[in-house]
Amino acid sequence: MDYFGFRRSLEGQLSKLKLPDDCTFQELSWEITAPPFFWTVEFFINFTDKQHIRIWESYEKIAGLQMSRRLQWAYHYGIITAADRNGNTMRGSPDDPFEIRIDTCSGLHLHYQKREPHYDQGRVAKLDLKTVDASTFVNAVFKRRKSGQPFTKTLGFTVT
Amino acid sequence: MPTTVLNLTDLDNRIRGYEQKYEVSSVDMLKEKSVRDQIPEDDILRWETYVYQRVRLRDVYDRLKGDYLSKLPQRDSASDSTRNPTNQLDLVA
Repeated sequence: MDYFGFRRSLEGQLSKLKLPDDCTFQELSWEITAPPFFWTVEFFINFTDKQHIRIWESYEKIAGLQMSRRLQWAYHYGIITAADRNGNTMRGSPDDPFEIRIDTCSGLHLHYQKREPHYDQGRVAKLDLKTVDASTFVNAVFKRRKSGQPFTKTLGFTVT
Repeated sequence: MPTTVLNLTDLDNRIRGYEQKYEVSSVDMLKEKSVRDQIPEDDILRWETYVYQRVRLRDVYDRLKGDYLSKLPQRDSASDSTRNPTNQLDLVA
């Protein structure tokens, strides 16, 4: 789908998301090119215990088709360390602690519980990292927080 | 919901901002592992995205311009009245 369809779809999905009582959804932030062939979206879900989910994705419309593809992404769950003057969560320092992060910088990989190492797909078993989208990630965090199970259970992976 | 619309100039400015912040060129950021290792992943992702969007957007603009120009009626320059010095003076007057 194109940018407009994508935006409608994402906003519809998010409005149906069953948020736990201890979290709030922060406004989406969009960057689109003119014409709208490329776009990025970022949003935060903040928890009362100062943890947050951060989702950032970049897309492009496939030429000649009413379809788009995800180009780059970063899904992050960790402590809140920075806010703007309105109290909105912002990206903190790259050295901030976190529990899990999946991103495509220099190739798709996973960080688990600490910044290093970078686990590329060759070191991650039982989970195809490509199949993890924003919705999968958010729901895995909700499940992790509700059940207390580690992400190795809620996302179902092992690292070597 | 905050929505920012970016054109080529905006992309140029954002790319330049990263180049100034890290004091390296976009080419070095893309190619040199030692350079990339010094830059936070979130900034690399955004910087790469802006570079990619700029390249692709230039292609889009060039294609649109080409399509537009190809649809303009062809005119014989000798019969183009606006190139006639007398007519041009008339236009200025």
